[in-house]
Amino acid sequence: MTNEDILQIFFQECEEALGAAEQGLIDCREGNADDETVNSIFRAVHSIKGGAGAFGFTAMQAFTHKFETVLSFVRDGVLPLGDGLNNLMLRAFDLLADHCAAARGEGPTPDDVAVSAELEAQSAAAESGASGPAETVEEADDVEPGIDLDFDLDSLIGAIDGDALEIGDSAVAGTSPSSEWLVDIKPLAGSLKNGSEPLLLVREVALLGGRCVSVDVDRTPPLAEFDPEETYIVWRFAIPADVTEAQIREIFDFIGDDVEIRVLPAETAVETVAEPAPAPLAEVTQAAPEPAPVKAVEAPAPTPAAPVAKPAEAPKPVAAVPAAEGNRKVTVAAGQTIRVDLAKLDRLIDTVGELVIAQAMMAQRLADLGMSGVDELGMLDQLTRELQDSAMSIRAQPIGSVFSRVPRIVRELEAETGKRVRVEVVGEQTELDKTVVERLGEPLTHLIRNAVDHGLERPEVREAAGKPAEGVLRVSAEHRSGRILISIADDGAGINRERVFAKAVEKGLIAADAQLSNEEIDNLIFAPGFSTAATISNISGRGVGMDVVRQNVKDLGGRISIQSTPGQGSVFTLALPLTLAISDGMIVSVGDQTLVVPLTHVVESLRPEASDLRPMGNGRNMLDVRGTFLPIIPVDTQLRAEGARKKPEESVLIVVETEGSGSAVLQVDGILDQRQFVIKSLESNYKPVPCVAGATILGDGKVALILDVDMLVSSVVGGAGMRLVA
Amino acid sequence: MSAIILPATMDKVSLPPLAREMAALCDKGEAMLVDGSKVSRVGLAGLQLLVSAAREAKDRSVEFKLMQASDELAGAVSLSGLDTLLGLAA
Repeated sequence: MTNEDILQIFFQECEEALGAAEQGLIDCREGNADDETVNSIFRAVHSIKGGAGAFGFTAMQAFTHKFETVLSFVRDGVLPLGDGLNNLMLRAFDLLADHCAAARGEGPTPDDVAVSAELEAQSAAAESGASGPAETVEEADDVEPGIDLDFDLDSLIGAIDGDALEIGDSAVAGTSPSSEWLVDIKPLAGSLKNGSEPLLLVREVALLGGRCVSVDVDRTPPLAEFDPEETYIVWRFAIPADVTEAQIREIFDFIGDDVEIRVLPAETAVETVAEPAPAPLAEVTQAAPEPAPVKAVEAPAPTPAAPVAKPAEAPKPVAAVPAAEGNRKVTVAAGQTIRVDLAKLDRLIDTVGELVIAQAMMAQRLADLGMSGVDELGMLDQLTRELQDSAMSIRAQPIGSVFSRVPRIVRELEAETGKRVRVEVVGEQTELDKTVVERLGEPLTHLIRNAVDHGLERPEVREAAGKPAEGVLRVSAEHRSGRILISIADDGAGINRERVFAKAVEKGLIAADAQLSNEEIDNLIFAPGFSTAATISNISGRGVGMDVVRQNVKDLGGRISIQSTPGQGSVFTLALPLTLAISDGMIVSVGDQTLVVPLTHVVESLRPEASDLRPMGNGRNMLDVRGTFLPIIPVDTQLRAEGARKKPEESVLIVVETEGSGSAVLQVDGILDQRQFVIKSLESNYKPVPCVAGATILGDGKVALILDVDMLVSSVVGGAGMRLVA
Repeated sequence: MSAIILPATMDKVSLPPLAREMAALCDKGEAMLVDGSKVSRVGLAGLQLLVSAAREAKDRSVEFKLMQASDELAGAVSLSGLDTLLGLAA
């Protein structure tokens, strides 16, 4: 593992820590915080600080130190939580997120001067009002289990008793909080000979919040005898108790015989160090991973120095067991995960895609031989589908990584607009493909900005309308029918349809006498260049956003719809595929072409009776679908297929739903199959083709085009749709 | 008095001649001024050499000074808890 790999792990852990901290801070603001909430925020900030120090992100480290100090006063009840402090901590959190982004090279180092000053003022106030400063708290013996109070490596190492680092001494640094792990790390000669680098392991220990409490350099020889392949240094690190032993040992999982380690609770370790002849480091190695807390109970008899205190102290490790187990439940699950290079996953998905194609080819071959009903084919089909699901689930990520941005966006919008917004996030554990998650950020951000800027009213307006001054923005995600539904709902004024209509006429998007349904008027806001904002703000209202939102969602193979009720608010719903790689479709024939209709659009298919059809003057036919007349679109004319059936009553009709053009009916010659298909980009392999979303390879090896149903229908019936009610 | 300039990569190839150079200075009783500004890669072996040099300098009452340590070197020293020993503590 290279330094860069470890740095990337740190960044990932920063993201996780930021997520935990933000949730805790929101709970604080909403009055739902308890002691553990504040602890969790403290731990998160603390762990970021530790890594920042280890990797030399000094600005981030300095800022987190100030933030952490305030949190320690909050945790100890010296600083009471209130609106002012909650807001300060949220602003500090936002800056911390910016620091993390800057460390990743994704932005400039933020200007934290003002917030730092506020944090320092809070700490100063707490110190003057409290019985002792933060440093006193850090040195207290009765620190809470699981909370290590300072990860600042530089200052900690600097704070180690100077004698402990005197050359020739086996150093023991001052006192360690009683609930920490102590880890002895002794690199063996073989490690340098075979090219390993023990320092990388040390760095990983530091990432767990470990701090070097002593370093033994006794065995280092004079220069004349120095051997660059020999190892001389032995470290002792203290690691916070909220890290499990399994997490610690995991670091040393794959190093074979290169390093000896010893992991033990602080009490045991202190005793061991106090013994005249310390147990050899090899005594407890990874080959003997017995639980440390049990070892603590079985520790040797107390030293004479503390004969009375020992019985009282003895239960400590035992008492720590339940807490440690609490952590362990979480960490056991975490310990069963591995980080995998995304490129490897993509190769797996590609291979599964090829397997789907090969399976289809074999099915075709067997069908040609009259063996389509063989049991094994069904089994293979089932197994292929399971394999695909498993592969896709590996790429799946909780949408929470996108939703986690919402509170910050809203906080900024509140500050800019003066509106008050309560955010409700539901279903953040809903999983979908990593690529979809990554590309969802931009449209989601714009929808949220739009909801706050245009949807929710100012507090005084809401109160005048009999609503609470605080608006509600609800962001939710759920699985439904093989798709992901993401909703952004507000309880604002709803879409002002008269204004939208007038604006659309003014912009020349529709005729002044156009007869549009409410749904069709609502959809006008997705038209390119449409904007109802009286003035362009830097929040939204540039008239490009909603158009881009729709395009982004469409690029993801999804659809967006609006439900709006005047005075009650609007709901924007994004329906997205679980994956971009493989989908279900209906294989149809149209003349000399074989085409795929994505199943997400298909409502039903039928062979019409002549009485169901109504000819229109322009040569077009309408289909009567239970009282609603829908336009019939001959697919052959749109795609220039030859030899297709011309009469609808001799064809198969497929009722489809589209994003912007309502429902319509596709006329095809016949339905050949319904199966999974692997989506291949036509754009990257050939060039964009109107009304075609991509291509796939069929079981017979031929390429079939995948219909872009939205474009196909809108190109025939227009964006406003075409529907008559009988 | 000239400083020993540590190489960009402190590995098992570059360390033996460095150790000899340092030992020679100690033998002469000259101060060991070590310039770490060029170091871009250092591991345990490199740190151990610096520790060995610092200890020997102390034994012989010779000055040992690690100067202008690069971020990479300073980070490794700090991570390893050797900043006081090598004179890099703030």
